[in-house]
Amino acid sequence: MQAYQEKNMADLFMLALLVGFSLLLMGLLRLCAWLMEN
Amino acid sequence: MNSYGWLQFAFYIFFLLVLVKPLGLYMVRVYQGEKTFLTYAFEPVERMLYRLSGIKPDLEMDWKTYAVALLLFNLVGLLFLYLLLRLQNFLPLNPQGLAAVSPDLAFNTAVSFATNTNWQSYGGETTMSYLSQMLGLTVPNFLSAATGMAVLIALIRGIVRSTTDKLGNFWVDLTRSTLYILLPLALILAFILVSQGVVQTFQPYAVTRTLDQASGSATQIIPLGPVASQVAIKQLGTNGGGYFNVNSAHPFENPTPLSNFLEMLAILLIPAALTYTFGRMVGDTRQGWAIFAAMTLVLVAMAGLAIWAESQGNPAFASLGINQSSGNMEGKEVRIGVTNSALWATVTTAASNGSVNAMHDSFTPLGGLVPLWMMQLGEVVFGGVGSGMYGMLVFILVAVFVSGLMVGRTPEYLGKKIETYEMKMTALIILIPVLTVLFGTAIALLVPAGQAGIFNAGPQGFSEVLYAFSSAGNNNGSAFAGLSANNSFYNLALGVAMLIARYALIVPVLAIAGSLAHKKKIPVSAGTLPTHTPLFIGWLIGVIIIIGALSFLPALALGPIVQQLLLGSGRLF
Repeated sequence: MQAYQEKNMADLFMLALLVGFSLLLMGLLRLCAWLMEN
Repeated sequence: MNSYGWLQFAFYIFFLLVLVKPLGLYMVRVYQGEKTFLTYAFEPVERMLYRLSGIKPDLEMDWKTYAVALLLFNLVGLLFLYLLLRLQNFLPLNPQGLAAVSPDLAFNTAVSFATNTNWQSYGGETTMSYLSQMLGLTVPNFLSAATGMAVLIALIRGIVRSTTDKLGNFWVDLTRSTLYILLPLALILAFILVSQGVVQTFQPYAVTRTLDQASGSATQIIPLGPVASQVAIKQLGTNGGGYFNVNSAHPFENPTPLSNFLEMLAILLIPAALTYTFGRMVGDTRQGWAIFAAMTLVLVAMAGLAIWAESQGNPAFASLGINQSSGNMEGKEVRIGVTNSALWATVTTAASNGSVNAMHDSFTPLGGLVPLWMMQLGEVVFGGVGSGMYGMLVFILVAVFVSGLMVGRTPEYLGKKIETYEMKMTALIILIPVLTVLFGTAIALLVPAGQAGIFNAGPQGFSEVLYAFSSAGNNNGSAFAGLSANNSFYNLALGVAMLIARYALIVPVLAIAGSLAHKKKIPVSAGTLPTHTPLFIGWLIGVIIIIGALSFLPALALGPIVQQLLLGSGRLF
């Protein structure tokens, strides 16, 4: 049961990492756009 | 190296040169929506795909919309691949009953294939089901390559167009790259590879009785699978992820001299042809040929160095009385030999391919330095499909800007002024991979989890780590071997490095495209620096080499350079 829960947590961590990185990229995109306008 | 070796090398460059124009011209037609000989067959499929996906092909995007579409598409692909690998034990086409891929390995692999890196912390035949290999890994091989090509085409449109914010439609560029370019080429190559003996089957692994019954292993399992279809696109799409653990050193993945030649040719085919596509689309083919010349000169010099270094043999073996007249054969397939191993190593790291037919860890220090540095140059010497060319265009902007500063001219390239904004983005594009590689290596060497994966002592061990991060941080994917990278630390660290190297560069590249598209075209004047001359080609090579040397020479000195010097005095690691 513990191993099962640990795996679930690992999955959540990996998925959060992917989504979090995508949000960071959106931030980079906003930064590039802001630099272009200013 | 004997004359046959040089002849093979010359043949390789000759065939590449011959194919650049026809394929380059074909790609121009595809991207400009003109009729080709495949339009009749694929246009209905293309239209059906747009209708099913609700895409309006005529609706053009600005750079931000283009980038968001690209990032979202890649994120969905990443999540899909991650889940597929995690659930492969419940899914069909798994005759060996392979278990689910662990979370950190699934993350690393999903990132690796979505980013066109194809770093492999796993051994294909012991980890991946047939479904994972085909749907999970082969599909991203196509789509990640098409993503790189789409970014390049958007950048070219940014250079060609003026006073607009429209760069084309990402979905159309992605679909056309896949349907009209990658798919037909991959089909042709896959059939040729099958004719050479590359396997393509859904049968379970074969079990055979060995001749050597006395050794205790009376049977041997021979892995099979749908190999040819994956190998074709892994080469053409500069992906590089092997079906089997030893990649193209495996006789079922690369069985004959012809398959070796064609697989090697396929690595550089599209990146080379894209130089012509570029020249044609900007209305001056000399510009494309100049870029092709710059890339070829660096490739030939580096391949020559690698082949020479490996031909010299290993002095440590020579001192044991082992004949080194065939060169350094450690870690190489006897049937492939020194020339084709060293040439492949250079070509696969010049392009962001990463497939191998010999183990780079066993190269002489100088021979191993070549693939390492080829990656560190930023994967612009042909580079990945699309990504190599847009990387090279970024270096051209630097070359134009610096030469403009030196002679007091306004920097311009193909009628577009190069200003502060482009240089800010260029600085980001060049520095991000350098920082990723150097910081990643430093962190891995500092933490116990990173040190635990190192196999050899001294500079060889250092090179193993530097190579891994150079490979991930430039989206190459080849491995030096020796490093035990399938653990949580390396899977996560290299995964993050691959993500940064791919997407944190694509965003500023598209931003440059958007910025250039906004600008007016200025006519050629006496003050315009010609960018197709031998002088500019030399200058461009100089800029690439100087930036590569400034960034990585200190690190290389700690690895292969000091090792080469110590090899002469008999010190081994």
